[in-house]
Amino acid sequence: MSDILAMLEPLIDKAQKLGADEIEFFAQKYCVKTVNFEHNNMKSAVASIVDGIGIRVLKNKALGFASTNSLDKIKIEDALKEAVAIAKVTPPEDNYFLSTKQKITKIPEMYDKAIESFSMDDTISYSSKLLKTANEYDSRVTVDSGTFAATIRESALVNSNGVSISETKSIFNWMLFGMAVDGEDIGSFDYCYDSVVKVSDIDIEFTAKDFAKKVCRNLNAQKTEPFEGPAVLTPDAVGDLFWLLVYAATATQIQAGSSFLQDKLGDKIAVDELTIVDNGTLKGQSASSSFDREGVPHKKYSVIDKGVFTGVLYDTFTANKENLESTGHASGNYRNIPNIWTTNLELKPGTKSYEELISEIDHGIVVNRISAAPDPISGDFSAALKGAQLIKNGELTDTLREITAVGNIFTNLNTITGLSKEQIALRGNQSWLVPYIVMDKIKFIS
Amino acid sequence: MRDLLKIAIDERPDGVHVEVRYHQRKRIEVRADKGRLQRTIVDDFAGIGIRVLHKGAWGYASTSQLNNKAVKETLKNAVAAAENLAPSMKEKIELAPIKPVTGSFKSIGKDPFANHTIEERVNLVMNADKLVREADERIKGSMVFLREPSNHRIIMNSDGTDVELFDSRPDFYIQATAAEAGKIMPYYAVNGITGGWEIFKKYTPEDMAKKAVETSIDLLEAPLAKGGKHTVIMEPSVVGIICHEAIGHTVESDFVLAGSAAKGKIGKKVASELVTMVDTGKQKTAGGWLEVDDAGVKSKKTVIIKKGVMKSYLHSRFTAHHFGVKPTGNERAWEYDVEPLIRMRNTYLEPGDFSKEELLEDMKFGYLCVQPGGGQADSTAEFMFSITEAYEIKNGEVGGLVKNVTLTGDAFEVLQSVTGIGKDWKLDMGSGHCGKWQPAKVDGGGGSTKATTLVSGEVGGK
Repeated sequence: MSDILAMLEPLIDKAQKLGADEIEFFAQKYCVKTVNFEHNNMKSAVASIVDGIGIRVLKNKALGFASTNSLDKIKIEDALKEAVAIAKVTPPEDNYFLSTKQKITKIPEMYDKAIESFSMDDTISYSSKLLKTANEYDSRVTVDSGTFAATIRESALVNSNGVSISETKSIFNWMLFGMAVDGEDIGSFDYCYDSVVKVSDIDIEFTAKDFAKKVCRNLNAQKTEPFEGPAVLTPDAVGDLFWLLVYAATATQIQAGSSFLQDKLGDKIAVDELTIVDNGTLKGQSASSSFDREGVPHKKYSVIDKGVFTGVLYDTFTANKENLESTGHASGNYRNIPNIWTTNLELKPGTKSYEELISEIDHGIVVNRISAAPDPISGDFSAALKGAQLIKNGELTDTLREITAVGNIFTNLNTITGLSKEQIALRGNQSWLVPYIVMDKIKFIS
Repeated sequence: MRDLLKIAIDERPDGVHVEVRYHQRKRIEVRADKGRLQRTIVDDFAGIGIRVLHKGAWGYASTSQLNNKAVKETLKNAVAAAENLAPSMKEKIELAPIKPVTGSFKSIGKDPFANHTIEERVNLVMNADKLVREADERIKGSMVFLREPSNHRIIMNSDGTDVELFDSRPDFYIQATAAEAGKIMPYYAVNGITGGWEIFKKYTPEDMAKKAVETSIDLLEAPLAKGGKHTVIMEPSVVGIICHEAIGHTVESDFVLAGSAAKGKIGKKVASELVTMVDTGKQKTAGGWLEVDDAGVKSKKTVIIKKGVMKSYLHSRFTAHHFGVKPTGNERAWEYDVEPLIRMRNTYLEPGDFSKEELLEDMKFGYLCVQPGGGQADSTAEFMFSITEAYEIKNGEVGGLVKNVTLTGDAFEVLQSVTGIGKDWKLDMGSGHCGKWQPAKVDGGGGSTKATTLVSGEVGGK
């Protein structure tokens, strides 16, 4: 991307001549080889190169943004003019400044040179193995769709405050989606995915077998009676619900007055056992990077410490509003202005094993996956449970169907009664490292 | 541009089927949050995608470089990708024949968005936001969002299809958040069409702001819905969600092949005989308007369920060949850099004979479900949708607003339980985006429909 930096740097002057007071160029280029699956078969091979640039300008403290999927100079200049024109019709904003130059420490092991010789045949070979392993694990497994992709992703950011940085990452990611079918019995769908930086870290066998186990577990689902009791949230279910907590911790929501966490910094909001840390600097992780969407370095950042809300997530603009520094949580691609989100979010483990947690429950439900549209402001959720398993007298019994769990994610942070010592990694553009969590006082309706 | 695309057709290797598509999507968004213009953006995304069928395998490649050399290179990459994949294909892809389509198709409305400046859009959004904020002291939050993607496509294939399509698919959202005594209740009014500035005539920003404000305030005092199996009357936007999410996905033939709940159901009774369900791209101002799909197939009206009996799935050329039927014109791609998938268009129940009063008259207790929120469905046809606006029905009378209503159940069981469909037919899900690896703009609706389903209530907002 150094050639892109060289191309972008002179455009700062051009932008200023066009009337921009401050200017930011964020360019990305993706080289992707993909194989897509459909109905237990490979469907298509795709070779694509996508590049583009997002342009943020400030004029008289007003923001303008335009993007184009081309690094052609004429197209960039057109987008630049568009961004300046938008700023001219936008009301000014006192705290809107672009990021300033900061020391960027390059995160190690973010690029595996082996990707340069990773061919379409290699992509097909891994895809074939992924499908074969899932299908051979159990004849009832059916892969509806899925993908395996190898991506070289380059990002470059230049702004009028002297920031000029770039980074190249290698990303291998894959996913399986489907269900198990046994005669007339159709199980709930499920999915598994993973994402790594190094070829040597690709473990498609684990994903394929995990997928097969999940979808087979969902067969022969039974109904149960309604009750109130503990839910054991698997890491997938934790991700399905705890994003509400991340959303509530963003400065955007707090400053808009639309967050449960408003005015709660320093308050105890959860049980002592809950500690959440975000860390975008972990080496060799696909969600890590040396800088965020506006050129601020990532860092290790405490969000909840022993149940106390310790960290609001900021980008430069929201931090400026409170006279603070950005926490490096600007996120997103070149086609939009930055939003705020996490990178590698870790929920710290507990002390007991998953089996021990189950063995201590007389009557409860393991929540494997949820289908819900929770209200991000109030935290209320009414979630259809998928592949849920009944716990009776400390043992897993039936898989359940047509059952719904209702609760409030924020209230239920105080009804957590256990976290497992095992953590599972859910890796993608944004990643989670999560234990199993026992959450009591959940109403189950059937 | 047509000459560029013709290169991919003319220079294809012998025996190779080619589909080539130019697609420019220009997206303009304006959003205000609580009096602040949160963003105004213009995103221009244009390029050429080439899909080839070679030795029974699909190969796909795309480029944003709009020149001869890039098109030739992209064709070569697509063929090479298919060549690599072909030996590993367990079932070779074959395509059902089509009649080639030619012509130009347009749905940009009577008053195209192109005639309206960004400044005009900013003013409209900021004024609507002000209306919400100043309407009542209990309104503590507001959000107004206008998004207008305009699309220009040229689609050619080696069967002779050669078409050009223009459309504009705006969405407009107004959200009000009311708060009092520790309770916070949001409500959003939403509208989406294929067309132009007349979107603001269908429902004016003033009307939408008033609706959002009044409903969010009413929700503060609204009681929780009573959980349990209840009779419900679903208004058209909720019917649209049931048709799309709970039934529609199970009849997408790629999903049928994988074993969805609709597999083996053709010719079988799956719903009340009052139910006739259709998927079509014909309605020109609806969100899912589609004259020709991205594989170059003429979009056809597809009757999925006729008088309770399942008649058809939704097909690509490949699945049509597999099932021995005609393609339905359902292959759609979100942008030029992705290949088409089987997607719905406007999916709805045909109108019935009932007036609203007739639907209500024998109902002792139940709910009127007016506006859907989010939701999901399953391979099993089990669904879950939240309802953001619902009213209690008692002894045939529509009563007060209730909150936190979620509908769950098996979609085919719900359709079996239908006892009446209203004459009040409309498509009313035009702001809808379906997510199936890529987004797609869709619509849905029907006449108000009376059925039985499980209502989860009695949660939250205490």
